[in-house]
Amino acid sequence: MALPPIVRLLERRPVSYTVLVVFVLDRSLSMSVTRTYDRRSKWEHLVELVERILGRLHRSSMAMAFRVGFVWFSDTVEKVTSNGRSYFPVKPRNIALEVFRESVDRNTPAGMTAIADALYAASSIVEEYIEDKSIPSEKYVTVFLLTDGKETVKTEDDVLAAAGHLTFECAEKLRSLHERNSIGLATIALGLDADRQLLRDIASYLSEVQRQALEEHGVLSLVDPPYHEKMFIDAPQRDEITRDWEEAVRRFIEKLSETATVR
Amino acid sequence: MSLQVASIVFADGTMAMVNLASLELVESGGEADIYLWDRGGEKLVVKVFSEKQTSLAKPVERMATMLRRLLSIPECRRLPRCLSVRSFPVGFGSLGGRAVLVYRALRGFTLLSEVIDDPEKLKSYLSRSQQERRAMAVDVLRGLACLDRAGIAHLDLTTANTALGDDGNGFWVHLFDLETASIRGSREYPLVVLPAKDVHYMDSSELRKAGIPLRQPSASELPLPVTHELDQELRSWVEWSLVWYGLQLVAYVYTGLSPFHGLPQLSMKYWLEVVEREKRKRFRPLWPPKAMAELGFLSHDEYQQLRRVWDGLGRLAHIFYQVFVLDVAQSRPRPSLSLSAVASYVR
Repeated sequence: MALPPIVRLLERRPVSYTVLVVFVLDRSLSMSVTRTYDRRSKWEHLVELVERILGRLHRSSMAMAFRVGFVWFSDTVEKVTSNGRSYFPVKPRNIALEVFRESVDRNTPAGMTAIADALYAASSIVEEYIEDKSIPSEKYVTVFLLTDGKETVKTEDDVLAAAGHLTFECAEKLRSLHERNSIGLATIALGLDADRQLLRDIASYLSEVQRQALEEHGVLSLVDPPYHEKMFIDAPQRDEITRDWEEAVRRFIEKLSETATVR
Repeated sequence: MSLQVASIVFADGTMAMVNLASLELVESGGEADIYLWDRGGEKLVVKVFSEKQTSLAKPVERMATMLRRLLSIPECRRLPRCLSVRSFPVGFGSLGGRAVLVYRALRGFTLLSEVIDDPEKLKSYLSRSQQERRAMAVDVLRGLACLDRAGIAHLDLTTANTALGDDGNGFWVHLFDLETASIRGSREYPLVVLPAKDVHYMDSSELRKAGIPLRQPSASELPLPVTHELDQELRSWVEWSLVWYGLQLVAYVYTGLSPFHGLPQLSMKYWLEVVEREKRKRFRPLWPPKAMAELGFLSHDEYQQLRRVWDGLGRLAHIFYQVFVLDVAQSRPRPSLSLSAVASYVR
């Protein structure tokens, strides 16, 4: 019976690449507004959306590749950490979901909107990921910024600089590890009060494969209309989160996560 | 509502109309929607392609061409069991402009990737006898060899396109999602999608780091006919990918392990250290290579355990050495053995 030794050996299972998904989540006071299809707050919907996505990533055929990190922000920023790490696997155990759930209670809506600081916190997660020698050098990153507000702590230029740091400086470091490595910043406006033009400006361009994947999954029409070229979803019409809009955002995040390797 | 009714012609000549709204939708993907159909007690899988995929891949015609080619090869007329249930449809049809393919279903359908990723499922799989797992691995090799002989370049050979389950005659391994495999020499059935990156495999494009001149096509180069007109680098990528992924799949079916198990990561950087040391020290061709232990990737005990595990594969373990070590060391533009050559050697 060769079984027991093999099973012990299987505790170490190498992978060939990883994909880091970072959620940058708005917990400013405006997120407590109930402009949603079921009159629960936007914040509650945001929490539920992230939980559903983490469940889907866990069931994905790429599950072993995913690492997920979280940043909550209002006028202050919390980079979610656990045991000294700031990104977590979704498989075999969905540690990312466990850590996210633990972070929810201390991140209820309050305060203003520090988007630039939140993006720098996301960059620090990406930098930790780049430095991580325990995973293969083939690394892909997608950062999802979900907000309903405008920068109120620093300036618009600071947001542009923070986004630039992420998509240029971090991207360069990432590519120095492996020529295929890439990073994408996707932005989602959760309300008409968001700085929608700025969110579009800082979003990365979609690759052709990603455009096709979004089209095949019926969400391209919502993504950066009318050009459909950037990783940006504008606020729902009439400033109310509908079930369809929420479902489209879920698919958008899942598809961009799954196609991060084919940019 | 009428657009929801698909007309199907079965291989036995019978016809049926099926209202998809009455079936269980199990997956709604970009390329196709998958339904389960209980047809008078017979469990079937109905795959309804998107209009775009239908016109791009022509799945009905493509599958018919593949089958014709396969059945023209005497040793493949009786398909290996891994190709006999989920690989080729028992019914074809259409729903408006969408192609419909109908397959027999597996009871207890579980993806090989799920088994590899889930410690409990893996333990349960490994509790099956080594002989049974070896027989399944060899059957997969025979299946891949038949595809190879028929000129079918099935590059999307992932652990997520391989399933385990009861095919009516017991538990077995089955390959599926062949509808986008390209047909060699045909401009009509080109490569239409890039193979998915399987996190369990060392990527074939990494072979470039070993000095092998190959290049994976970009999405903008698709559709790409796999003909003699392909440039040398793309041709090398096709030839290497088929064998490189095929052998890794066989290893996973046998034991849930990568043949490179022991490396800290499935990356060529580490593998080349092993290849270099094997070349320098001229070790006997063993699997895992002795350099894995010498370089500290495996402890002495682990090395011995793995030797016992892989020895169960017999000659196939030598093939691993030939392709993964010697061919890489020589930076060959294509592996020294095709999958059909590997299968004849093992038989």
